[in-house]
Amino acid sequence: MSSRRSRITEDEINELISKLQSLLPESRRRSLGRVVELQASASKLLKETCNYIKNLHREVDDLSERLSGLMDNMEMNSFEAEIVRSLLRS
Amino acid sequence: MQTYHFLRSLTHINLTRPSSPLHRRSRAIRRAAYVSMARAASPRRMWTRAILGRLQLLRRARLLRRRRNYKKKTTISTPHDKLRRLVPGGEEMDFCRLLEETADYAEFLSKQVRIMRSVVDFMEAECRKKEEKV
Repeated sequence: MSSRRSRITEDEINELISKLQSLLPESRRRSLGRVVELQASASKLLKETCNYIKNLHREVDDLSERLSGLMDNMEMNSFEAEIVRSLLRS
Repeated sequence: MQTYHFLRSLTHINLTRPSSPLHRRSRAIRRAAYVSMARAASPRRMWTRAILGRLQLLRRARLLRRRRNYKKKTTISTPHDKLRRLVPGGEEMDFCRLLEETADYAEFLSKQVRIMRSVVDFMEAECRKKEEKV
């Protein structure tokens, strides 16, 4: 095992990890608040992030299926109206 | 911008595959979701390039770097391997870059979910209205 120091400093990792932490939804962040040791909290945060992204992927899959079923029922005219309305809202 | 791309793709799917089987259409919608995320985000991001299919360039660059013995050391092991597999293009980056890309990717992904939810809600409301009229 090489004893060469990593290019990435602890400070940089801290900074990036707090950036990631600020991105997670509030509820998940609170559960991480108590952990003090950097290595443990970093690893836990990474796990939380993985779960968060996995859940989002699952939601995209689920919503795609629902959309596919709904598009079946909609006619062309109302579909375009829906698009115009969504665009006006966003 | 992301909403616009996604809705445009949905219209296109509706036009070109009106009678295709449900599962094939849902795959097309899913692909449209990720492509609209990538189009709305910065083209300099590796995850956008991975989604839009320009990963070959990155792989070639990685091979060249390996030949020059450029080592990327990381200080955290297994949880970040999982993350690499979740973020598009994650295998090609070092750990620092991976964290940045993850933050960016998660932001656009959650926005995409919000967009899709509001489209689904709207369409379900329209369907209900139609059923009430009948």
